[in-house]
Amino acid sequence: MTSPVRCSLLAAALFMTGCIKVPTAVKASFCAQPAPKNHFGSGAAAGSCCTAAPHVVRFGSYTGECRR
Amino acid sequence: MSAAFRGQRVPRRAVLGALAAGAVGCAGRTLEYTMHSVYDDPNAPKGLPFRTGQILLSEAPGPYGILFTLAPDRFFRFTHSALIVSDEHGEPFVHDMSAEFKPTLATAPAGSLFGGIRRMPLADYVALHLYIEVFEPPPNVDRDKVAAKVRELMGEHVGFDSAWDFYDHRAMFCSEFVVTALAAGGAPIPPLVPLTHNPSLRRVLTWFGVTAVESLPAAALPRERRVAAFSIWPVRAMAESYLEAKRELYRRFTDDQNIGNLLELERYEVALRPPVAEFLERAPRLYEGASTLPPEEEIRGRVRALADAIFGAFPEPAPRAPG
Repeated sequence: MTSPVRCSLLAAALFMTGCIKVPTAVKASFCAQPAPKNHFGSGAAAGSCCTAAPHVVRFGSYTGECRR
Repeated sequence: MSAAFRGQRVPRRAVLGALAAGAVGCAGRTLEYTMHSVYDDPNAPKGLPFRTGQILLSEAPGPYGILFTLAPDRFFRFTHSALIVSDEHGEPFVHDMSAEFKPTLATAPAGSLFGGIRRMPLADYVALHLYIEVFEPPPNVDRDKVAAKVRELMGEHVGFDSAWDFYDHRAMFCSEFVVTALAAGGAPIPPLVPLTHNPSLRRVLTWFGVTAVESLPAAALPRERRVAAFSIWPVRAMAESYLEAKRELYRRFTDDQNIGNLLELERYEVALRPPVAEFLERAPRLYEGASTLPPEEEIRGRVRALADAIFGAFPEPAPRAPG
């Protein structure tokens, strides 16, 4: 029989395996375009975008970390 | 249209703490505001100006207000709406459809998005936002029926609709909730507005769970005179300048633009790109200390000049030749 504490731990573990994946197309959408195509500046920050995009995302108060 | 997303990164307490408190009093009760009251309806009856059926249109800090601003196929000033329903003592409570993310096994954001109708004192609600305007509903709305509909929806535990589907009322987004409640009191239902054709933003919205092709932006709600406005900025001109800055972002976000030109996935978080954050921070300061509200065209011109300085020039596209 599983104790309530173990159940809670199991539930927590299951929650932690929750993983929001960022599809490639979405990653690409978050890339900044280079100037002059970019209407919001030089696009200098473009290097920080999709190539290093994570498989995990924090969105608002939610943080999902992929353990797989 | 948007959820009132919680957990914003802006240090609101620090910002709000520096602001002078305003007060609105009635019959021995006082509502303390940590934000500035920047508009009082001169035609309002004496006493507490807030009552059931009034509509709140608002703008919260952070990247989502910008994301949702870009979603409709034309510009609207506000991205969130709510409704006042007073309690039996006449105290105004704000009711809105809000959502937050909770960890689940879902692989897309919509699967981890949970929410429903939120109820909070007006003062608490005001403190969550950058800027709020309060409007009277359309004339002849039966406010008791509006209140009854809100209570009915709360009793049914209607959930948040991350798909922004106006036709399915089993779950609702913010303006769907407001317009449904007002319609119970006899208000007209406004026409829906198509969503953006920008491919980049469509992909991101779809990932967030928005599958509708048209929706009801918060600022498309039918309403009458403005009753009040509250702002983190001390004068209304600063708030108007912020809204004009959003309009300028919208003007520049043509169909060939990536949403990534404005927002980034910064580690695990959606954030404004630094030039956009700087623009939104500097635009209100153009009118620091303004004693009057300048004409809209003047504000627009100065905000566009600021955008040109930060982002580079972006002229109005030439009108197409006839024929």
